Amino acid sequence: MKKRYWIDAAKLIVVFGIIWAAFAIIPWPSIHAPKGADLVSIEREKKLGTILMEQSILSPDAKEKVIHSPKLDSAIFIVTSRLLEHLDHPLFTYHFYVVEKKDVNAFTLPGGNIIIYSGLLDFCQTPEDLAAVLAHEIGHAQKRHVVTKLVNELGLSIMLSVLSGGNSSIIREVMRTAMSTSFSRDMEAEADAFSFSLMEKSNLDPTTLSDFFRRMKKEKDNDSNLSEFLSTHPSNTDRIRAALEYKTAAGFTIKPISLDWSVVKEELKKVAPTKVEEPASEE
Amino acid sequence: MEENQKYFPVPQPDELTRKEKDDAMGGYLMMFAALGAGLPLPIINLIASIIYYHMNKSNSLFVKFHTYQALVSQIPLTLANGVCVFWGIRIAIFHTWHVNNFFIGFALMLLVANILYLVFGIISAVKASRGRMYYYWFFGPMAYEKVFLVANHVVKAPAVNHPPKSIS
Repeated sequence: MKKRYWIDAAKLIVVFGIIWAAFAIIPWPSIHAPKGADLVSIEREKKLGTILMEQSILSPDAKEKVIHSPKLDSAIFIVTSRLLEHLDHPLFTYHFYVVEKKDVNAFTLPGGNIIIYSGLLDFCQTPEDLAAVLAHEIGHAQKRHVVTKLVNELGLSIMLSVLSGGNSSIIREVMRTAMSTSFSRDMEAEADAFSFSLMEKSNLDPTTLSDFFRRMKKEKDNDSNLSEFLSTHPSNTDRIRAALEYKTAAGFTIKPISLDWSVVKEELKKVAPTKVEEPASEE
Repeated sequence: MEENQKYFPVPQPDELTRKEKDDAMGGYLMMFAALGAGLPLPIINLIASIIYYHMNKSNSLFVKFHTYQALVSQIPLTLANGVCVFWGIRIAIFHTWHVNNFFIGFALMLLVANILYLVFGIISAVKASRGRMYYYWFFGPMAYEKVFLVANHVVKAPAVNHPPKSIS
């Protein structure tokens, strides 16, 4: 008798195990609302990016100007080249723009357009700091988070109206959404994981992002310019821990980026003197 | 069959009083009442069933069988519901875990299990109120053995007489 009912217990466990497995293998995300990336092709995203850039940062009457400086451009080129050389299957031709603004922030616009505020360059202490943030932003672009966020927040019809030459108020709204709203936690975690992997492939220390986040958390009370970055990039302890727990492959070596970061800081003082706050002088 | 492998006879409906039938039915109804009161903490129904079982275990075998079956059958489901609530809290409040297909599958499997349990709970409550036995898969035979096996009721007196020490 005893033996028989234990066989029944085993059958019961197997039946419910099968029910669990059956529900788990159904691709639920595709049953939910379709993701933006499924609705907007890469070609359309590139076009969307071009329109948004032309109507905003690259527009002659833009409030926030793109900084053009040979020294800065070459520094950005050195840092981004290291990452892009090791990027597998890039979806876009990446463009990086340094914009004169004291906020410590960087964000990705559709079509592989990445905006770096001069405040971020000033906050970074090494070229590797910048590389870690940009690897994260490239992750958002490669995973198509930007277009997914825009479609989810504004709807597909708004995106299509921009593509068909929508009016300036719509474009402003799209830009505002792209720049000011945060990604979901899952997206941030995915972009972080992408960043760790890209940093490793580029022979850079994947834990750099955790050091960067820790420094931001530490200094946020003293520096109001950090609030925007923290509102769009929630740097909770789990993200810091994920970076620290990332395991690099055997034989991984760190090759620092050969770039004198003090030159970048000096150049920033010249090209964006009013925007980058000077440390208080002690007399 | 040895003496201690024998089972007490299963009571028939006409041998049971109205109170015994109602008490047996109460084992299942208690579970539903407590389930509603206990949400989202799925432990309350288990505590209520344990109390109800202990209040009724000295009652007739019929009542003891049904209250015991109601109690043991909800232990795995309560534990699984607890796991689901804990998993959900980690996702929704602490954001330390993420919704994935394992969680969705687990939650839906539990939904099926809870609906089945509700259906079988109602069936068994009705059966119990009519003085009928009703055996769940696995839990039914287990409760039957626990309650009706004669050996489980025999209380052996401690041995006081022993052989002479020189021989043993």
